Amino acid sequence: MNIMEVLRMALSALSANLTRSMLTILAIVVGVFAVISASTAVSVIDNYFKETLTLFGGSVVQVSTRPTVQMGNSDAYRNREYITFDVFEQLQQRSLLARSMNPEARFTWTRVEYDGLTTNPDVVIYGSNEHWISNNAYEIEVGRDLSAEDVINARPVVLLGEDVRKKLFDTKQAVNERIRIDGQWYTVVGIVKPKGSAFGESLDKFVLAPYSRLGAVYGTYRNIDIQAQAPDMLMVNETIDEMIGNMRVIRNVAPGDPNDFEVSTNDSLQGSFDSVTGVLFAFGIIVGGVCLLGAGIGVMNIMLVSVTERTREIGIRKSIGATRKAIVQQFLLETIVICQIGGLIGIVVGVAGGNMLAVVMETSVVIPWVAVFTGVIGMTLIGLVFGVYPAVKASRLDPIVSLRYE
Amino acid sequence: MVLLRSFIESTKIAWVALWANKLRAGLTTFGIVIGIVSVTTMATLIDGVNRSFESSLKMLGTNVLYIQKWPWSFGPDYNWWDFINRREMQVAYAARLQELSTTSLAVSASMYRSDILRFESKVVERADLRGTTTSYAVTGAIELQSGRFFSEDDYQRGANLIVIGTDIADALFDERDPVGQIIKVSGLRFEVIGVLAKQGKFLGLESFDNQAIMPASTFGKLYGFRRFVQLQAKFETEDLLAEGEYEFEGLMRRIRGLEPGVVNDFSINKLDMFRDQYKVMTTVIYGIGIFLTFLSLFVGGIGVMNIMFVSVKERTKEVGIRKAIGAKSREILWQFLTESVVICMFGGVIGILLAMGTTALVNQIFVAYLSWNTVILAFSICAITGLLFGFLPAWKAAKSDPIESLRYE
Repeated sequence: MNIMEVLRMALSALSANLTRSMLTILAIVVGVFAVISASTAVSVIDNYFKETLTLFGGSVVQVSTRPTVQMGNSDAYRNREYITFDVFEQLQQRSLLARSMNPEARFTWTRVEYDGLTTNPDVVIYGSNEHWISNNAYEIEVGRDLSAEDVINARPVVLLGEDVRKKLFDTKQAVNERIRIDGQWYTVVGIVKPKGSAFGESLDKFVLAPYSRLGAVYGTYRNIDIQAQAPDMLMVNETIDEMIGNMRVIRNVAPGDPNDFEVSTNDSLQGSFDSVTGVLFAFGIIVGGVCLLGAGIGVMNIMLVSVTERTREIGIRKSIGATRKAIVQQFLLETIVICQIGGLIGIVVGVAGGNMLAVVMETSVVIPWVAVFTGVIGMTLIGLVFGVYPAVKASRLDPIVSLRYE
Repeated sequence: MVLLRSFIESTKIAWVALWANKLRAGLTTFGIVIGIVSVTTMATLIDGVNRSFESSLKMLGTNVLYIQKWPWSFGPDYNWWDFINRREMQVAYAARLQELSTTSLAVSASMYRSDILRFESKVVERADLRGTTTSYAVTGAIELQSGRFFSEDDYQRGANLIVIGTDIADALFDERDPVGQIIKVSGLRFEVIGVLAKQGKFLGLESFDNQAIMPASTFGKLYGFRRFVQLQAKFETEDLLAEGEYEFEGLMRRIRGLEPGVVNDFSINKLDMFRDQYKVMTTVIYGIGIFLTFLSLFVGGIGVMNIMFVSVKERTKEVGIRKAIGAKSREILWQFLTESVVICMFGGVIGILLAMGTTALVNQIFVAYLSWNTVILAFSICAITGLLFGFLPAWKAAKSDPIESLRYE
């Protein structure tokens, strides 16, 4: 039998009982909606983590005494020896692969003053060198970056984050103006393009100055992070190995002892929330799957009714020569058509519903293609599973009994 | 009476009708069972989490006000620079407040830090050390497993006495009786005079059994008096607490000598703030959970509606005959409604029985609690589902024209 003809028969059978078909499809829509919206919502959350945790440039490796994303007990890290500027300089000399290396030191949290205006005392004062901006995935908006000469000569120059610029200068020109931090004067040489916020914390509320200058003002003995670039994306792992090796030598870690520092990259940061999203995903799939199971049972039930009602039709078809295979095909296809129609609508509504979260969280919209494809294939499977019993039941009917059926 | 008889009658008819199509009725019920199991399990989960939260709050003591330098704020507009320059609390305030207050039961001061405790060769690395006034026994809802709390006399002479939590007792003394033993705190000898009753964990995170309490006078000698001083006042009832909040604000302003119009330079905190914050956090999560599980109940309901439509159609002739011999529309309506409600209630019973199973299962790895309220709620939801989804098909049957129905093949 021609597949198109079977399809046409299925559609006409469905439209013969419009209310019933619609209700069944609605049930499937709701079931698929539950699964798809849950998995979309989880991908949105996952995506949010990924976006906000792209703190560094592409192939940047960071060395610090504490993990950047820290969960649970911090006892293991608190007695670690500081990573100092000395360590940074030694590491810089030893490195062959790691390049564009910069220290990152948070010298203080304080006020920044300009012309009678003052910020809140929560501006981070970073000390670093000319590589900090690119290694931390920032860009210069106006003016220039720090230069190697600034660092060597410990010049009193600063770059401002957008939040600081807005508070102090607003509509005025900021470059070449002089600001004051803790009584010291600095000249603004550049403005950094805003990066937005992560987990409710602004990433633009900072001032960047040469670490040599800030070290002279605030003292150099402090715990810093070190950031460096791998030669290219493919060499990231080699670079990490090299940095670990050099750090162990510099810090005299005996062979066999664990590292007394942490190495992180964008990838390792983004991986740190996998367990959380994994649990959410499992929860969503279970709850949605249960809902879909209910819908599948509804389909099976209605197909059984359909078989009973069409007993005579089956009898006639059988007596004029329809094989059992043809009957099974007919009813199975009918089930699959219902499931597919419901499934497609459910997927569209589900993706839209899940992305409501993206709107609320102000992150980008996600189309979970994997879930969509699994949905389409899954609906075929569900149609098969729940359609098999009614279809087989129909095919087993004795034509003589069926024809006599009232 | 008539109503009841007609109700029993329609239940009987419904039962017969369902029995005639066992497979169909079974599948429909199964759909409802799935819905009810997921909704009920979700409800028990929420109940379980809420209960463990409440019991955690109880550990901190009920009807207690905390008077501190810092407010417990959790919002995004938390400007620490507004509070950093406030004056520190003083231990001496406790006695003053106690003397002046008319609403409170007791006022205590406590200081906090973590330090190392040693006994012979055993060590507890990070014990939560607390120096308190004697009245902390009341305000901190102290319960002792053995021994005693320090007395006013001990406090006055700054005795080296200490009361320890069960975790510390276990770590240092194993099977031995801790009371009367001498332990070392930052090099000084302290006599253990009591062991606190086991309290468990706060929100499953921070253990309360890892604390050790000594007189604030002794604590001050060791570490100084300016360390995280916190005053807390215990009230008999919630009403008194509400009143006490204002009284303490006034008293504190008086002690601090604040002129009218000057802003408070202290914060009065209470556990309700925790509760509010918790509610904000959990409402959204609960909402999503309940929404998702209600979807599966909705799917079950659609199944019921669909099958009822079929049932009405199949029994068109029966409806026609009943109408022809004088059945009222209302009675036909009730007949079909009863049928769908019976399906749903039956599904509800099975669903709740299964939910007991899933609750026990969830309890193995998380907290869940099946309360009678949930059971009653589940039953009402079943009945409502039956009514809601059965109404349209039943209405269709009730409104059918008997002449048309009788002619139906």
